[in-house]
Amino acid sequence: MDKSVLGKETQEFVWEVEKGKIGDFADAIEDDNPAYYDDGHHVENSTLRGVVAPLTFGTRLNFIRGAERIDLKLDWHKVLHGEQQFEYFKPIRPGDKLYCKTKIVEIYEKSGRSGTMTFAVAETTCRDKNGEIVLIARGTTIERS
Amino acid sequence: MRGKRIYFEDINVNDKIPELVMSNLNRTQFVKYAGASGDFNPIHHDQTFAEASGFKTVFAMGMLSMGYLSRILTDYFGVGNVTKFGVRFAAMTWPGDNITCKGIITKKYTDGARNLVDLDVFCENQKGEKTLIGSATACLPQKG
Repeated sequence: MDKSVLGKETQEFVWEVEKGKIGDFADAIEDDNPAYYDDGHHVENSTLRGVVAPLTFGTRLNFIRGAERIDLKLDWHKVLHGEQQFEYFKPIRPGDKLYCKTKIVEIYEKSGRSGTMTFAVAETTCRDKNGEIVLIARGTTIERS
Repeated sequence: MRGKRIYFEDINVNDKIPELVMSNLNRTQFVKYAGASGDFNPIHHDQTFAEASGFKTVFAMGMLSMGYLSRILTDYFGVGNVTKFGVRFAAMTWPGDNITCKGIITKKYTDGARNLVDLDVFCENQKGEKTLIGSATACLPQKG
């Protein structure tokens, strides 16, 4: 892992949220909640009407076409996902354009029986067109030695 | 199970929320999740790559289990009511594993005008090992 990327931040990239992608994602976690598919749903315990994204849909943020990525210079044979956190401020809906930036906020090492592992924490903040925060995603990547 | 609207008054510390069991996970589920999420790290679908990385076979994305775990939150509290959700990936999930998603209320409190509940959440495999360990917060309406 290239530890010199600590503190580095990407250019802003745009995440255009598509309804079909929300449905495909919900289908992949086998969640048939109509809130992810049906604009006219009446799910009793849902606070929101219309289609919204599932809680872990933000995993797509790591794979947006055309988005700048910070190259950690990882050996992909040794990579594990260590942790993932989301903070939700506003619902994510089809047609939303979210303006996002990713920053490497922490890099550290831990030694264990299997050698030294290196951890990198990437934080992505997504804002709506008014600049209000919609989602903060924080992911920890681990590289085994 | 997806149910009725849950109110702040309905919740007590140490309550367990309804579980979800995903049985006998298979590689097709991993591939489907790869397509839907965009995560094409070959370690989750390519046997040759997995073996070259020192693993007996491919294993599930942690995010797939986190996706299953998310369902117990949105099924119980409703879509739109979860404000925080985080996990640590503690053990790998292999093809053939059974995963049970569980949650227990740890705290009930108010923050300004908001009624909040915190939970411990986790996924457990058929051996009783925790594969994901995390927490979540939900913001709930009051019966008024």
